[in-house]
Amino acid sequence: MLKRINSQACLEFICFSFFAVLLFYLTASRRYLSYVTPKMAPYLYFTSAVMLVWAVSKFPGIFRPQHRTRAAHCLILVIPILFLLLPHSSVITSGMSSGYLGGSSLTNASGNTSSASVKAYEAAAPQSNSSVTSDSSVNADTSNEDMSVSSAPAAMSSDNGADTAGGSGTDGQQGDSIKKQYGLKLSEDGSINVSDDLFYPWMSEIYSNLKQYDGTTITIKGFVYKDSETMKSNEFAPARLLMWCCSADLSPCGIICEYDKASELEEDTWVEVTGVIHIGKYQGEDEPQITVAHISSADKPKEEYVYPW
Amino acid sequence: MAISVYVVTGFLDSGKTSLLNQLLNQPEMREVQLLLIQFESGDEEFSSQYDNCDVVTFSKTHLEQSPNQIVQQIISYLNEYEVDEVWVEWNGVAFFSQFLSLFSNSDLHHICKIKKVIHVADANTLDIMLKQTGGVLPEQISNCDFAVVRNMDSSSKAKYVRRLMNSINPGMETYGEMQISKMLRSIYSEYANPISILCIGIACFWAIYYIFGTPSFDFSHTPLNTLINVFLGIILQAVPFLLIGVLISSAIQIFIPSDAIERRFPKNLGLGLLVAVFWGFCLPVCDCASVPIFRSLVKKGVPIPAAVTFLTATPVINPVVILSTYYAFNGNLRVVAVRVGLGIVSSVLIGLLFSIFPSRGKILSNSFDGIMCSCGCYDGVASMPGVKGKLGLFVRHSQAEFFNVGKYLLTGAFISAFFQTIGTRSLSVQNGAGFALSLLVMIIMAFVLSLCSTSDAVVARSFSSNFSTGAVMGFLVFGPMMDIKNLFMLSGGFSKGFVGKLLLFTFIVCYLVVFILARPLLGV
Repeated sequence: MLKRINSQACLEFICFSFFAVLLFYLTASRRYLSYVTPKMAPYLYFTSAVMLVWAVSKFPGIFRPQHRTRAAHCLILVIPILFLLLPHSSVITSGMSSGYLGGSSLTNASGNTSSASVKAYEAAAPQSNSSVTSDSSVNADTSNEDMSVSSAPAAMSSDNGADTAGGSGTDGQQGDSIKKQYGLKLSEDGSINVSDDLFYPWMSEIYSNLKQYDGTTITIKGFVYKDSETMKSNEFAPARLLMWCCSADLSPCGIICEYDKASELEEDTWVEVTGVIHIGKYQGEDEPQITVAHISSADKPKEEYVYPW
Repeated sequence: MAISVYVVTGFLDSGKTSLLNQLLNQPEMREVQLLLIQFESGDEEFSSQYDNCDVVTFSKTHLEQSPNQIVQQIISYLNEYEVDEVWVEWNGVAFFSQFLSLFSNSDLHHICKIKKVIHVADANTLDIMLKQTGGVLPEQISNCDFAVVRNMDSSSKAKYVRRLMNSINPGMETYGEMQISKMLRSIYSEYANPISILCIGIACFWAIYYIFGTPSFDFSHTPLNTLINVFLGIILQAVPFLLIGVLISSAIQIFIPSDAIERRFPKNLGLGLLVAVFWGFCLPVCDCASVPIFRSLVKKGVPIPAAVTFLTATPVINPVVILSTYYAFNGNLRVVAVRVGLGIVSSVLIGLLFSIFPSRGKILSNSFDGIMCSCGCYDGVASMPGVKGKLGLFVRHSQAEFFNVGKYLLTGAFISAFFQTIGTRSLSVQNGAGFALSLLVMIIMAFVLSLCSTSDAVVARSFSSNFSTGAVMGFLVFGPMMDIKNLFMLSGGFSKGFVGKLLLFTFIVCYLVVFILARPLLGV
């Protein structure tokens, strides 16, 4: 049992330093975005630094003999390391809509609400101010369902410093502030071209100022998302997954498109949709919908998930 | 072929020589040539019945002054005589690491191999000895392969001793003095080095992956892929905060004198609870961090009601949580205020309940400070003055605590990821369910999902589609205080009775407080 090199200290040294390097690599290479939001980056750097200090602290112990060696505790670092190294892809919705994913089941809690997240901006700014109080009624009805999702643009607007708490913000103001903050611009021909990194701002902008964008041409990218329970056979959404805090709460979000050959589209494939926005009805609520003019397949964006805040 | 070395450790008069007399005079040992090296001469003499055992004795002063001479003597003896086994009776007041450095001398290391280390103790005096003898005894215990304890005459005493021993050296067997055959079996059994087991395990894991990870097996469409993603999400979210908690709690343990907090903490119950709420408000940490801090506060003698109030208040009312709730709920100050208010009310009530129904018996599951030793890092800890020594101790303590709490975090995260992967639809309530039921469902959901309290508000917001804000408030108030992850972390350091009571009180109080107050306060 006795070796002149203390194998336990050695093992701990390796685990700490490996975890430190791996975390640093994850964060620096932005791969951590598959698991947590950008907000966590400083915390991950901090963890990596502490692990490095711990690794260094183990160094003198390597040459101190020890009879009884233990290894089980190192599993706490080994298991996450193995899982991180084990090749796995990011979460896809076909897994989710079939009830696999908790993230969606959070929003899908009653089965019919995946729709809620798709049309995440349904309950646009006008309602969003009152939504918190209105949806607190005991008997949540269909309209409440839409309320929930209004959190998205709302959170955004409070980000902008707009005073939404009192319900005083008007559509225009809110829209302007979103537009200004993210520098959203229409193309020269007056159409919207949603770039990968401005997906969320554009979504909240369009949902907040629905009337303003009625009839506008839009080009938007997302993966094909269908929900047989709430969408008609000629409907689908080019959706992206929103991550609020970590991969445990991913939820799909996108504008519903009307497309005759929607049934031919394969779920989870990435497409770029060009079409005209019109005001459609979805479960009794006004919301933007796209009449598809053109669909082409597209590449996955570099950052697959969308981080609303 | 290296000569096997067996070592017996234990405090003075614990019965090392009697054990050797028993073991070495077994009939099976008749044919074995033995050498017994004693580093201590106690009251009892070793006597060999079969005349197959030589005895060499070194005094403690000899050991301290000229260890090299001892090594040389042993080597020359082993070269001169044919010896099958070397048995060592180690000095009770000397650190075991001293023995190890003696035997890792390059020449001796080549001819001898330490096989087993046995610790001998007396059940009647063990806990007193542990408190009085500083670092030596725990260090010896943490280095032994199994222990032999005399006078374990009642089953409750045996249970107590085993728990004590295991808190210092987890997974170790403890035998009574009469279980000679079991001891012999343990002595001559070879078990694999845990580190090799770990390495083999990792290798197997990779092998399995490569067999199933071929292109024909589309991994990305399996629930396992989702499980891994969710699990890693929770871990990466929680580990930094756990680390912060562990560092703060270790700092409390190491740098604050043991009576400073207890002396200054208000004796008055009400004042104590207020102070607890105030500190809960100030510490921007989530529930992963508050559990280790809670534990060190209890160890430092903070009254249980106040400590419990701190534990339950911190994750609900701290600035980070307030901010994230504000964003998630659309800047609605009313929701934020109600969450904080109900959080304070609930945690104070839980604290009061603990003062009305105080816990009897020990609530810390380790009566001895097990954390310090379970890492096997006890060498010379007691005698470390000065800032440098304290810093080293701080680092070691925080590591030990990280490993200690980390395993519960990992288990909790895994269970929670599992539940999320199989889906929580079964828990959902259709629209129109009564408030009482939907609140219950929300609370259970919070318990199962084990989200970090700094970001659970956003998830709670998404529930508003199916649940009223009043019910969601149950999620927001109960979730940070208690969930699967916390339950596992708490059960690592506290007695089952205490954790169960805490769970019960937290549940009842949160349910009633939210049920009665949430709707009027939210104005619905």
